[in-house]
Amino acid sequence: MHYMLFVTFFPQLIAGPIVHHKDVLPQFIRKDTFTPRAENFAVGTTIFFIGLFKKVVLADSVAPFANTVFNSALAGGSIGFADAWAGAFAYSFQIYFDFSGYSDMAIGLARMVGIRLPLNFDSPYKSTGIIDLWKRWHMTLSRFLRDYLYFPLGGNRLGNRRRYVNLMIVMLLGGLWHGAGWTFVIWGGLHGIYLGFNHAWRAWRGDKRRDTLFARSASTIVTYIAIVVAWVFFRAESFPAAWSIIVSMASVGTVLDPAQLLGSFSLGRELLLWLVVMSPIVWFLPNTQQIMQQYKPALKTYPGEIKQVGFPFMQWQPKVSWAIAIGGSAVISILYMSRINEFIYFQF
Amino acid sequence: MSRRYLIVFAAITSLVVLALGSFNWFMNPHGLFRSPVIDGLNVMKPKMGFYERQLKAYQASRLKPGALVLGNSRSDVGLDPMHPGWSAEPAYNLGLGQASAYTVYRYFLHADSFRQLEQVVIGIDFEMFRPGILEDPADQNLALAVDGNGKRNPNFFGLLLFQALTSADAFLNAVEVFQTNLKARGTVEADNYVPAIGVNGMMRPDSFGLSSYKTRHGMFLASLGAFVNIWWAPLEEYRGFLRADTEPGAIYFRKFLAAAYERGVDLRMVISPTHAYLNEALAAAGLWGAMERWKRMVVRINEEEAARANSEPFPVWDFSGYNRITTEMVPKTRNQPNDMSGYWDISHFRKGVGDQMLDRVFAVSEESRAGFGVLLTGVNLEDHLASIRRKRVSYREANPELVTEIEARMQGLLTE
Repeated sequence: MHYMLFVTFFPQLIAGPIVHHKDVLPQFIRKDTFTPRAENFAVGTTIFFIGLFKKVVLADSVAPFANTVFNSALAGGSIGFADAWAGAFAYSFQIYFDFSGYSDMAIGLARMVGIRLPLNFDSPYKSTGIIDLWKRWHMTLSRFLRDYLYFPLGGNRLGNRRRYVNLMIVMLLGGLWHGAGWTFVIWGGLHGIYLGFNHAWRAWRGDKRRDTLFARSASTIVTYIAIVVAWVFFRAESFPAAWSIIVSMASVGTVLDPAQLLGSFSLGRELLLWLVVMSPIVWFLPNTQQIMQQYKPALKTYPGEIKQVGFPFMQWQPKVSWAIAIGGSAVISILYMSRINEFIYFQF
Repeated sequence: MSRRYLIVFAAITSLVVLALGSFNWFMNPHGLFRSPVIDGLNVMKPKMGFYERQLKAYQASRLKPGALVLGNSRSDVGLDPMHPGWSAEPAYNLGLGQASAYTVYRYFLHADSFRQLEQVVIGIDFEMFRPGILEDPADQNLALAVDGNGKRNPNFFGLLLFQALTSADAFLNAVEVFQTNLKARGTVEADNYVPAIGVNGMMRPDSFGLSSYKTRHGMFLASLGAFVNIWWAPLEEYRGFLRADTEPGAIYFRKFLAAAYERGVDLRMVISPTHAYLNEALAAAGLWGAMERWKRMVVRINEEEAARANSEPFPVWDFSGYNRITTEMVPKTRNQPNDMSGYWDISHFRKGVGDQMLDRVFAVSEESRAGFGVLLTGVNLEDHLASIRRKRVSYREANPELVTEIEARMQGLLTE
């Protein structure tokens, strides 16, 4: 009976978080879990509407720009340097807000009925390395791959070389898990290589690491760029399309000539405005879990992962001011909802 | 604490949404509702024509027409549902701007789900079969009663109202209605009360932007840019298209015909009489072969589906090519709204021409038959295509300067 409930539990049926039975079965068994509580409902509703906003306002607004670039590449059109980067950035924001919004909605829905799901996103683009990224992006998938693929393969216990091979196998299969196509394999392969580099770097630096603001910012930027390059393969519908975008992105000489740089951008001011609005959300604002922290919004997938928010006013509380803010964003989401509206991550 | 939070949240969300919905209903920017019309507030609706797909989906559900005009904007402005030849009532013009074979199929199933359709006249065009029709942004997220796979969509009406009352588009357009009317307050003329899309579904032709050109001839030539860059793009792909029935245009045209045969609809097809200028442009773009292939495909698929359904093939009337309508002289003198009797622009014919087409299609008047419209069958098709080619040669011989000018213009567009 509880197993049936676990298998069919609606908030996480359609896409992630990938829930392990040991996360939720104990909650189903506890008698007081399903007793309706206003606090659960308030917390769940808030998380749900934050997620909806991410999905329908943020993700769906940049999606058309990414589509323009990737469709044009698929049709064999030539893409300018600035367009290629802007399209790739747009897609990186689209998939991030789409998927993290979706996870929020699942976590929020579950919480309305008193269930806590595991955390699935922890501001992944704030990562300072690819190892860090995979502890923050689609965390339940990484955990699943680690427990059921990486560990059985021997993990890092069979020596250094075997560890790199294992990482590569896991990432290639992780790529295939998203779709049967060479572009997904390349995406996984790139991440496998990134991870290998990241481990090698760590081994080489050892305890010489210096944790300065500059070092952290530089790592975050390099990591993000690496992720964006990999996303191009993930999004493109064919290898030639992906490659033509990558080639355009690599024509860095364009930067030296401002006229040429401007000329290579045709996607319009609206996209720039969206990128300017979204960047601080991605890199500087606290995430949903941090805002809701006092109410334990999600189970921790890894211990100690949620960092404290510095400013108390950014901590959600069931107060009128927060009700107005969340109500306002719910209204905006509803206004945006009647546009093209599909969850791009559904197919995976 | 939490209880009060939830109450405030729910109250704010629902009150604001309700207020926005009421505002949108009253401003009625897409013309769906029968809200009061007041000078200074909501008479003029600048965006109404752009949301035709929404309005007509709604009207089909409300009026439950027994007869339809289908097709793209050419049918939309030119084919009159009040023509005396219609035998089923009420007839409604469900023509839609830039409609493709896919759009037509979806709206046919939509209208048919409210009441079995008895009679349909569909205006078909080469451009309705263009390669990228399934990606057309206008056809995404359509709120229709039947989905693309023929399955009922029980939530359609809720979705349609939701889009019409609470979407950001509706709200922004409602604000635009308010601003426009406030500015024009007191100066609103009777004309402004005529909506962009009439109760019978016909699109008001307006002027097609004629005022921005010195002459009608200049306007005709200028419009070729849109054909090269939008309707025939990407040109390379277009030149080779319809070699196989696996292209979306052929697939949805076949589905449409199969559905019409299955329902026993009295369907009549008309190929629009685009102006002879456009033929020259089409040839200059290297599309003549594709266009002929398209006509062969239309006739063949129609006869195949008829055989499959054990029925007589639906009539296919070709009004295109060279005839007294399509070769009307295009004035090079300072333009006037009514300086051409047959056309608004290079491809949109006037209602007068549409009436002659419907006379022919409904066999209302014998005398109108001369020289306009040929009934296509698998038997006479090749002769007909050859005859158009011959007439083209005569047209070029009679108008050498004009032909040179069109070809030069096309050369410029193609090398851009």
